[in-house]
This record gives sequence, structure tokens and C-alpha cells, in this order.
Amino acid sequence: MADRRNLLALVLAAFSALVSATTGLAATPVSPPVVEYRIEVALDPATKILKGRERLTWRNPSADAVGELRFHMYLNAFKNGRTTFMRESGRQLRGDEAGRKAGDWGWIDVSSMKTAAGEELRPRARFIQPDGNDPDDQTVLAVPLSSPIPPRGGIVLDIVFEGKLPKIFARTGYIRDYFLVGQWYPKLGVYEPAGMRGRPRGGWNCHALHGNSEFYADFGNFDVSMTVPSRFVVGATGKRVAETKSGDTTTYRYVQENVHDFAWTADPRFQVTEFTFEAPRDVPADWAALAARKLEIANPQATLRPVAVRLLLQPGNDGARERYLRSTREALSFYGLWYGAYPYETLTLVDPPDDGMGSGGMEYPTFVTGGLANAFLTRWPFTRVRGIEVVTIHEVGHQWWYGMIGSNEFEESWLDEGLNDDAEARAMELAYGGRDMIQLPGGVGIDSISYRRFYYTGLPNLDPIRRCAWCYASGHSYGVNSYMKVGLFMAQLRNDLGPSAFARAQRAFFDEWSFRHPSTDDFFRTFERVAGRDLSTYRAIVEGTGALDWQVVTAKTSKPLPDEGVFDRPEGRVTLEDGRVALPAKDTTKKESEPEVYSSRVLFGNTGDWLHGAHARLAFEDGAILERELPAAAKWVRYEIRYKSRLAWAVVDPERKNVWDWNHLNDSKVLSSGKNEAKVLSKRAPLKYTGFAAWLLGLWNQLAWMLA
Amino acid sequence: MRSLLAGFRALSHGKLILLLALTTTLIGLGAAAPLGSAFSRDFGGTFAGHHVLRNHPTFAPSDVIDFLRENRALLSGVAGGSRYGVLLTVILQMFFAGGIVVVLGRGDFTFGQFFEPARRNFWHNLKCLFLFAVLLGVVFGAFLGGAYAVDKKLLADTPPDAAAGALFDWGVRIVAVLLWGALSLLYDFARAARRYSPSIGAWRAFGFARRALRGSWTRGLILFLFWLLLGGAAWLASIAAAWSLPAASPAAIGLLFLLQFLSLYVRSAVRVAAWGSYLEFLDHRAPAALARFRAARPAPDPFLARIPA
Repeated sequence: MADRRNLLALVLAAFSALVSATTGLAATPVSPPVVEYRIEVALDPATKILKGRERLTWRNPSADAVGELRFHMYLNAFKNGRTTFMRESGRQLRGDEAGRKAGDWGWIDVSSMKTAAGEELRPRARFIQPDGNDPDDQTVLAVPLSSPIPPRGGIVLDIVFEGKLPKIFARTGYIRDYFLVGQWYPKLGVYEPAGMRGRPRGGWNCHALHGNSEFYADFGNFDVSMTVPSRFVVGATGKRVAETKSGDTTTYRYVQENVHDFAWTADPRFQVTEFTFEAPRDVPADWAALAARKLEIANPQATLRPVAVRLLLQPGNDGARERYLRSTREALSFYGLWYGAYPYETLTLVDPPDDGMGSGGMEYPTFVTGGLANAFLTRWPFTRVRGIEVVTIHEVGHQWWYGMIGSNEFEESWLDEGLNDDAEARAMELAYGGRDMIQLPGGVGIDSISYRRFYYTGLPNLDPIRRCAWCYASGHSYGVNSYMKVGLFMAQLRNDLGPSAFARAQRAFFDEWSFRHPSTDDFFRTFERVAGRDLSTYRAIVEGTGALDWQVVTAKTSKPLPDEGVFDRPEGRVTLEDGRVALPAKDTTKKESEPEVYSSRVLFGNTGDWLHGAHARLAFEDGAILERELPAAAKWVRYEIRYKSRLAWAVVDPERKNVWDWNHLNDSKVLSSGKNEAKVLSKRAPLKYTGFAAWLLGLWNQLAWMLA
Repeated sequence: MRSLLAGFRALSHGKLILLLALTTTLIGLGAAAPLGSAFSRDFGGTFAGHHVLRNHPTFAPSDVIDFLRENRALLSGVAGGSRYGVLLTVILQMFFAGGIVVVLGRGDFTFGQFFEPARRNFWHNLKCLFLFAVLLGVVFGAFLGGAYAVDKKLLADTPPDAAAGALFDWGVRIVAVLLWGALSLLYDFARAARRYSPSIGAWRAFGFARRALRGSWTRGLILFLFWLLLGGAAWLASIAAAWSLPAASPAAIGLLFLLQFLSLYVRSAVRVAAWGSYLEFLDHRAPAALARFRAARPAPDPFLARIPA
């Protein structure tokens, strides 16, 4: 009976998803969800041990009979130096190093796993290595079942587990009394039915924890009770529904529906700031108007709901409080307007301590960690180095691109990190203007696009954007390809499709795929449909290493050469010298004054291997401007123009719409003949900057006087 | 106070300061010269130069990034070459110091009177530098190693924002500056020993410096800190003025060059002023400090007689 109810619910959910895909309405979460977790856990701050009981309900979403369950046991990634994660990462991540002392390691054990019928499954469970041959890796636990779960059927398991948190590293762990408890419980992998994400047959998608990968899980409901000593301040995924004191401990119960993970934190030193995000008050009016215009939606702000935001700040980081709050408002406004309303009631923002940055800059559903908020970085001259804002907007943005769009971070990290990187850049630009990332005294700074180009063009171009997270040439390549390169790709796509079509396509992608698991193909399908264009060439830069480099190869202007030589004319053969007849009889008459005509020749070329068009502009000294489109299929285009004025300059992509272009230095040429502002200014620059370099080196030399 | 005033009086030796400033300017220019052609190619005759000169909010950063990437090998070469520039600067400053310690505070002098003791004291100064480097390694190695051990032992479980940690860090910084000051004074005074005893060896010169400072360490360190802080502030202010000038017109670029040279001049002036103070400080203590040496009695400096009083 229960199975029949589940089947009906799944059919309804599938129908609802189908309807939303065709009408553009937002997808609704699957109900009842694929997984439900009810967990009770106690933390011993002295030993860093978690003792937990988990009731797991799983509903088979496929038409397959499933004879095995697969669990992520992420804490085992920190068990020793021979796990897949430790081997691949070299025991370091984002500048943070794993601890090596006895108490620094982490692990998780399952001591019991019983079915509702009382069958103990633990003895037959075994660790498997689905991605390779690291026999010491214990991050995936396979649990064979005595009887397969039928299609649309379900199973309820009671699991007893014990975990030891590592010294803080790679998103989880402890430092002193600060605990960031992430990836801490036996978490079921995703059973992907046939057809999902292009899968020919149904099966588990449950990878080992890799050095460069993040996570992938099914949407579900969580009901978690955490018991800690009462002196601790606790924050967690979801909404606090109960707080029970017993002796010197307190149990906090949090619940949240339609999320795919649960994390929590505890620290007695947290300073709590709470506020409610209210769209009418917190959304800038011009942002709403802009979104409405580009999305062609009447009032995107109307759907935004209040969100109870809770900031857990480290003492000493008071200077960051307002910046955290402002950037959280900006993130909720921007993402809510452009992609869709934040559907949850709460959002918890955690400020990690300086020596706990291994847990910084991380997203979990309704729960994110910030960073770069210490007193040093919030004082002059770093007040406009917007690390806090970038991290906060990025992590809050992950509530959309990861939280609601449940892409597979193991296999297609670009769909969450990259799309979010682009969204974060746009939010930053809207909120902070041109030099949105860094503004230092003396006019030094950098904007989001330049920042991303710095990484893209500074990296050996070895990997495509789309790869499994552990398949990149290096950790750096994973990072650049998953984040910055995608940010540039999305900006290129936006420039090419136009901001409105792009915005509508991305909104449609979000609407169709929220609370589901889309793939790269799904992304392109939605964009092609909404934009009404074939985007197959763009796949070359997502699935290949295509580069673009339009440049002005040569630009010359001169008087055209006069006719010279021997010509056969109706009146007979003549020989011309300097445009005049020299033979048979020399023309000695005074040459009539002809209007001066100049011949200008410009060769544009694309030395990259990604074929893509560009706009070209040619300016003449009399002020005339010639605009031309260089076709996508062309490797080069040559113009020869005869005009009364000399060519002053030529430039390809003057507005820099081609953010994918490798080198902007060769995009223009200012001719040395004639006089024009561009020429005058460009002549001054080498003098100024050579002097500047000499000055810097002189200062450097003078520092050596400390010794001399 | 007398010593400080002597430092300010030393600033009247404009040509000496100019010599030091020009030296570093020329070395800087020499090291930066290879970049000139790269700037001409990438910024001259392109819009990139235009963007950078005008500090376009979004194009200029990209152009600078592209310039750095496209000229990576050249920049690496310039950086490598600049190390030789630093070495040359150190050698030249050692050379000049040999002259400064003899002529400063004794009225006007000619370049001939300056360069002769500079040449004569060069090897002495080189040996002093060697001893200074050894001292620096030993003292700072022990100090920083000890501070690290104390930090690990006592403050490992202290939160980063705790007052104890901040106090410890500031304590380490202050002691490090004072240690640096003490060693710098020893080094400078050892070089200055040649002012009073033209044939004194490096080892004994350090002994002379130690004796000269006995009982006057505080005053010596005050002199050091005065010129460090005042000079540092003046130097940084001049750098900030040059750094923040957005120069696009020829006149503004000319002014920028002037400000840049000014910052190099300020650093040179501060060095000369510090020497002026140190030498006045030593003039009163040198006889007593030298009297302790039996082997190295002060001999008359053959060039002193030629310098007008």
C-alpha cells in the first residue's frame, strides 16, 4: 500500500516536472522526497567525537530493482595519508594543510545498520573504490541488501555511527572550541535512473571524496537534533524548532525540507547578529527595475520572501559585521531577482576564525561560511579589497547554483561553481561598480572580468571546462576551469546572446531544473531553446580548449602609388612614369590637381583556434569612422580602403565584448603618421611606465641600504 | 639633541645627497631599460597605452595583466638583473660610507677629499658587512627561533583575536626593531671607527662600537629610531605622493618624474642625516672608546689636515 502511494507521488512529481519543463514554471521538489534523514547526534568537545543515530528513509526513484545501497563516508577521507583525498590533494587544499598529529585525523564508523524488520546489514557492508585503485580509501560504503528494493519501493534504515572530526581542513573539523561539522554523517549517494543526466542505465552515482571534488546528493528532508555543552552557540542548516536543556548540555533540533545536505557549527565565542531580509526594504529599486527589464517579468521582486538571517561572527571581527550583512542582502536580492526567490526561511552565515580558514568559503544548504574578515583585512588600505563581499556573495549564491540546482559537483563542477562564479561577478559589479574586486589607494584595482582573465590566460590551456573533478591536469587547473574560465564563458555567452536573452535562458534553466539534477546537455538544451540559436560552437570551449585571439595584424596608410609601367590603351601603347606619359612623347603639361586620396590597408586575424566573430572599427584622421563585422568563420579579414583622409587607428572588438579573447594588447594599432589623440597618448605611455619601472627598481635598491 | 641637530646640519651637503640619489636612479634606469622596448611595443601605438594612461576602470587592469603575461620572460630577466642592481647598490653604498664617515661634520669638502677615504675604507667596510651579516644571522636566528618556540608552547591554543597573541606579536616586532637598531648601530659605528683610527681593523672596530655605545645604548637607539621613523615617514610620504599622481599630460608626467626622484632623494638625505647624527654622537665618545685599545692607537688622518675646519 505504501509502495502504491509512493508510486502515485512519484508519477505526480514526474508529471509536475514535465509540465514545468514545457511551460517554464518553476520545478517543484519531489514529494515525498527521495531521502529523509532523522539524526540525533552528540558532540564531545574534548575528544572531538560525534556519536549519532540516523533513521534513513530512501525511496527508489527508478524503474530498477536496487539490490545495494551506497553511502558517502566523507570523514574517512581524513583517516590517514593514503586516502584518495589525501593522495590527490597532497594533504593540502586552498593553502591549508592537513594536521599530522595524532589528534588531527578524522574518521567515521558505522557500528550498526538495521532495516525496519530488524535485519543487521553492517556485517555485509564493505568499502569500495568506485573511481580507482586506492585500496585504503574508505569514503564509499556499499551495503548489499538481502532483497532488492523494488521500483518505486522504499527502505527505512536505523544507523548507529561514530565520527571523529579532523583538525580543521577541507571544509570540516575543529580548531580549539570552534567546530564546523560538515560531511559528518553516513550520506546516501544518488541513484540515477536511466535517462537522468544522459545515463543509459540506472545506477548509483557515489564517488570517493577526491582532492578536487565537492559533493552530490539527493534532495530530501532533514530533522537533526544536536547535543552540545550549553556554553556553545550553535548554528545549522534549516530552522531551529526546539531547544532542550538537560544538565550542562543543550539539544538543538533543526529541520529543513528539500535540501541535499546538512551542516552545523558550534563555538562558545560566536557573536550572534540576526536580521530579517525584507525585499521591499533591502532590494535596491534599480536592481529590481533592471531585472524586470532584462527578464521581461513584470515584478521579479514580488516573489521574494522574508529570510531570517543569522550571522555567527568571531570576536575581534566586528569590522566585518556590516560588510557581511550588506553583502548577504545584496546576494539575496541579486540571485532572488535574476534566478528565483530563495525558498527557505533561514540562512546562517558563519565567520570562521583565522586559523580555521580550512572551513571558510563553503556552502551548505541554508548555511554558508565566509572568510577574510579579520581585523587586518578590514582596515585601511584594505577596506576596499572586497574579499568578504566576494566570498559572502559567492557562498550565498550557491544556495541557487548547488543548493537548488543540484548538479553533480564530482562530474560537472562548472555547472555550480562556474555558473555561480559568473553570477557572483555580476552581483559584485552591480553592487560595487567598475573595480568591484579590489580598489587600493592610488587608483590601483581590478574588476571581475580582468580577475578571471588573469587566471584563464595565466594557466597552461590543457583542460576543457567540463571534466570529472579528479581528471584535471592539476588542482589549479580544476580551480580555474571550474570557476574563472566559466565566469568568462558565461560573460562571452551573455555578450553574444544579448543580456535579455541570456537572462531569460538562465532563468528558464533555473526554473526547469531547480530541485533536480541537470547536466551540461540540459544546460545547452535550455539555452538553445530560449535563445533560439544553435550553440554548438560554444561547446568547443566547454568541452574543448578553444582559444580566441583577434588582433590587428597590420595597419598601414599611404598615398596610393601612381600608375607606372607599360599600358596597352585604345590609342596605342604608352609608358607611364609617376602617373604621366613618358613614352611615346613625354607629357610636360602641368598635372591637374586631383583631390588627395589615401590607401589604407588593415589586416585583422584570429590566431586562436576557436572561430568566433568580432566587431572592427577603423577611424580616419578627419574623424570618419568605419564599422565592420568580422565573420565567425574567418581566420583573417583584410580591408583596403581608399579615402580622402589617412587612417588614424584600427581596433578589433573596441567594446571588449569578446572576453574570451586571449590578448587585448594586440587588439588595436594606432598609426604613427598624422596627429590624433590616440597617437599622442599612446606615445606618452612607454615613457611614463619605463620611468615608473626605473623608480620602483630604484626604491628596491634603496631598501638595500638597510645593509649598506 | 646635539646629535639630532648635527643630522639636520648634514642635510646641507646637497651634492653628496644628490650623488647617492643619482646613483640609485641610474642603477634603476639601467635595470628598467630593457622594459622600455616592451612598453613601446605594447603600450605605444596601441589603445592599451591609452587605457593604462587614463586608468580605464575595466580595460586597464586587463591590459596590465596581458602585458605582464606577454612579457613574462623579459620581466623575469629584469627581476634577475635587478638583483645585480641591488648588489651594485650595496657595494657603492659601502664605498660611499667610507668617505662619509671621514668628511661629514668637518665642514665643506671636495669630491677628491671624499673619494680618497671612500677608496681607502672600502675593504674595511666590506669586512664590517661580513661581521654584521654573521651577527644578524646569529642574533635574529636565536631570537626568532625562540619566539617561535614560545609561541608554539604558550599560545598554540589561543584564539587569533586574543589580546595575548596580539601583545606577543607586537612584542616580537618591537624587540626585532630594537635588535635591528642595536646591530645597525654597531655596524655603522664600526665603519665610523675609521674616522678616528684610519688603520683600525674590522674586528676591533666592532669592539670600538661596543665601547662607544656602553652606557649610551638608549641614546644611540633613540637616534636610530628617530631617523628610522622620521625618515621612513618622509620616504613613504614622498612615495605616496608619486604613486597617487595620475599623470597623463606631458607636464604631469614631468611632475611625476620629479616626485619619483624626490622620493629617492629623500631616502638619500635621511641616510646622510643619520650619518651626521651618528658621527656627532661618536665624536664625543671616540677618544674614550679608542683609549681602551693598546694596539690600535689613533693615528692622525692624513686627509683631515686638508679639510677646512
